[in-house]
Amino acid sequence: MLRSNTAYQLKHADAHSAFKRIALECIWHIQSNQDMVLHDADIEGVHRLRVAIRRLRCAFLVFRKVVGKSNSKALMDELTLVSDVLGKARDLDVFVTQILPVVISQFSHHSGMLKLRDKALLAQAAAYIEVRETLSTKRYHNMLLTLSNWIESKRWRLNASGSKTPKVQKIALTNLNKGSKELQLSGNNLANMQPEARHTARIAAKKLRDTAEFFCSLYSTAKSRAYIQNLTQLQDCLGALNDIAITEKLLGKIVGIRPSQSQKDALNIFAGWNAFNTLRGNTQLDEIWLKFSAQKPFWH
Amino acid sequence: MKKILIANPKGGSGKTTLATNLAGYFAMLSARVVLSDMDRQQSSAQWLQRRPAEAPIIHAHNPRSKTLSLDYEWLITDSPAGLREDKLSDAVKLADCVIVPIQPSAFDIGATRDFLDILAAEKAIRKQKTFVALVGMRVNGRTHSAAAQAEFMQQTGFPVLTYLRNAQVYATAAEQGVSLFDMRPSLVVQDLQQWAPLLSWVVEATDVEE
Repeated sequence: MLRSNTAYQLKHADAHSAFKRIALECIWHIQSNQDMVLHDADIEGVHRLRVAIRRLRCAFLVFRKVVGKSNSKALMDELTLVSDVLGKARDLDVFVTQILPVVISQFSHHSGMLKLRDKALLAQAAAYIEVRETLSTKRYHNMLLTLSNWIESKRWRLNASGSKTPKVQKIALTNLNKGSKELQLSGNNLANMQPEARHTARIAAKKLRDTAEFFCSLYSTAKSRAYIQNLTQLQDCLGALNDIAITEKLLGKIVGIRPSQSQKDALNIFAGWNAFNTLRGNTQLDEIWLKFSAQKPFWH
Repeated sequence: MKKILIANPKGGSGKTTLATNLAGYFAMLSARVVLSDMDRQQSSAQWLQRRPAEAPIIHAHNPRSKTLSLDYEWLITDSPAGLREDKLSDAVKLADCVIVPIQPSAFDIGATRDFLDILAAEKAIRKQKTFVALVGMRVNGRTHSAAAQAEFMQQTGFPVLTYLRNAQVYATAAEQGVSLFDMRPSLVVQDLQQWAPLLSWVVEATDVEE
């Protein structure tokens, strides 16, 4: 569940309490989605839990001047571990629920295709077992407790350097400028890029969106909403292209080292389908990128 | 998997107050709680949006948009005012227990009476004794209307669990997205006492099922 951005009302907050508020909100997201992962059949739980962890990591990054990098390194590493396990499950979720059904509806009697589907479902089930095990470990719960305690007590203040704390407005401006610059740089000539380079652009887009959502209460609602909407569109389009790239890697893993001839055929069918969708995605991407890069940043 | 329905076809009778605070109570006991808001106005859902990140988690569910797939321990449903009779009796059939908030106002009584008839019919089908209960809302003990409310409630034949006073803490809690159980105890001593019989009834009533 994503809450409206009224949760981050930062207008009169100092940098320390702004970070605290954002981080607590992210932890709240993590915990409410963790229930979904453990007790819900809906695959959205894994996705949102991953988003929540990403946002928290982004918050640490954005407020690095306030929090200090060395203070949070161990916690960030723990979060990355969880996120990686979730990532595996998410990739399979996307393949099984979004990509596979479209293709298999045209090849419902193809033996290689059916075999591939069964293998994918098995891999998905295994990934979910791993996810649920991870979320039930002492290590994970220790991490959450330490994190909450750390944030609640504003413990970073003890170790932070003696220099003056910057204002929230200043932090917002610096990070938004930096984020949009990074995206502009990596975004030029998007459609003709290799998947790896597009991946960089996608990460920049995600970072900018999280940052924009953290700070949009400081600026005009109408402007920030329009900007975030366009950014989301761009992110979705990049995401869809990334899903295709991931599918290609995933398929290789699913079929194993020595696939049967019918499975090889299935792989070829997917290769064609992916090539077509990449082409289509790139055309869309050009349009969306033009629209996005034409608009003025809402923080200016 | 216990389901509580808060219902009264009359608007403004205090359904959301009951639903949100009840959800807050079970969340405080670290149960997995889903607050389901059937109301178009989504006032329970908005309360959840305002809920601070530090408060115990309550999951939101909107039955209009999605079926519930989360495996919950408590499901608390806030039903809308003016829900049609057939829909209301469907909701009643699904619930383990029903709590009807009643306000001290003569206007309340007509619509509520029809609804209580539905509940009486459903109660006759069920074997369990504890199924429906009434709660007097926004009571100011010294007024005439309070006496009329008490009399009406006694006449219905359903148990009257408690009378909740009309206090500023409810408004404050609603505004901040918290329940009485998330607030500083010294602020709500009197109110927690008023809640106690309601809470123990709910636990007892839902225990019959399993």
